Amino acid sequence: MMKTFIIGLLIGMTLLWGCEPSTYTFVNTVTKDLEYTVDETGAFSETYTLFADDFNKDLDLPEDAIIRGVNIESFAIKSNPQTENEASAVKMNVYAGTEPDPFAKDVTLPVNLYLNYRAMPNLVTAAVNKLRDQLYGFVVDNDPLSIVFRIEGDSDPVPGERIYLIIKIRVTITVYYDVESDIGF
Amino acid sequence: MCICLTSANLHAQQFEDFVRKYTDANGKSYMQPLADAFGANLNSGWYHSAYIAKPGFQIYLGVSAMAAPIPAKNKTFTATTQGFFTPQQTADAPTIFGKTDPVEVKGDGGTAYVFPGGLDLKNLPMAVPNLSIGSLFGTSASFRWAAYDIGEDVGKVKLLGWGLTHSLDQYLPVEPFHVAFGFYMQQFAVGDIVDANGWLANVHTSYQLSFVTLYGGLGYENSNLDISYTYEEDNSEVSFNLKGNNNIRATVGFTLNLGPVKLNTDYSLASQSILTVGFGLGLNEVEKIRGME
Repeated sequence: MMKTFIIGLLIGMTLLWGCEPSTYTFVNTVTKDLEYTVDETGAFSETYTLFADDFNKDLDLPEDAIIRGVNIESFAIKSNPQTENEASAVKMNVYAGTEPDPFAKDVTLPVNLYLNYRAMPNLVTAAVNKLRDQLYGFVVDNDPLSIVFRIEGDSDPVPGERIYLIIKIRVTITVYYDVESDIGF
Repeated sequence: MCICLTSANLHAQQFEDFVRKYTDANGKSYMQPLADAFGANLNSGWYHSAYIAKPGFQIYLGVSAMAAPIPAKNKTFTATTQGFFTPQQTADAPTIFGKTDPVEVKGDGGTAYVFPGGLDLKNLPMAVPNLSIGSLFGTSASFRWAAYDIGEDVGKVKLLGWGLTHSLDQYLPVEPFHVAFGFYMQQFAVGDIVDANGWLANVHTSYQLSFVTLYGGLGYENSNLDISYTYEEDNSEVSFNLKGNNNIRATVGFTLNLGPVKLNTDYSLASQSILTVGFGLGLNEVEKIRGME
């Protein structure tokens, strides 16, 4: 797929001297929206599966890319309450893959305050790092083939209420990689 | 040139990745040094003497090659984390001419924000053809033009510039110096993606020795670089409207007159300085009473 950007053109047009191969580090950012429909009374558990193939298709790295690192830049969350929803808030944990510990713990989501994305609080560093490692496996050799993101919770502060929400979690992931190129000078 | 153009096309995807993260407030600062250097290059190489034949036929056809040395201050900028990354932080991040290594800052709960690296360039070179022809009432006209069809979804790369240089020494008792005023403007476009323009108003003087013409000038310049692009993946728009920081430039240089062969070099001191080297063929470019041609 031929895609162009002006910097390439400017450099092609103006930097006409010394096309010597050099190694450059590029950054690509992928944003995935994990969508859950919670239609329960009381405790709920919903999953969203992210497939490595889909992730890598979005990432669209060149074949000769050498991956230097994968970072999770941010998590954001929002809710879209449906008419039958009675819960003013939900409290939940967010899990990734087979890890027993949540990467976001006791996240309280006041449904009417989170109509637009907000940064997700209560991230757990160790679990986020494990998720980052799984995403690195996604990029480097499609391993694992997928990661299941699971949310588990209940209404808050009163458990057992009728919950009818569409919850979206936006994960922003940055991949940086090296490519040898002769665009240098 | 063709090789490099092909190369640029092949690697355009990577350049897109270079700046993809910078569709936000950091983008302008990341790209600003490109506007400074590119605009300063555009405004260079317009003259290599202040002598204008009065009256008489005078012509010069040549090529000017410019290089904008990138100052250290233009290699980094203060970048601010964007989006939902918390807490918001600032960092000294590379501009497009800065180091290739990205800069990473740590956030809450194991998150990290990455500012992209640059191209690690020491200079931004450029080469343009020049044609000057005169004179009429002590005025010569200058032109520069180039066009190349990149093809695919880019279109044509076009450079068009023109200028007028008018002799002032025909009114002023400044002999043995020559003095001229020039106004030059140019446009550079790449399809619908790039529109760059610049102008230079300049007073320059020259003094002729046996085979050498010493020259210098003081000018006021302006340049703009507008970039507009739509990413294919998500149709997001990237638009930068950048104004070059250069205003005042002082130029000193010399021309070797080897018969019709002209070799010149000059250095323009400015916020973004420029080194220019020129090569060309000229007729009646040196005052005949001195018997140099």
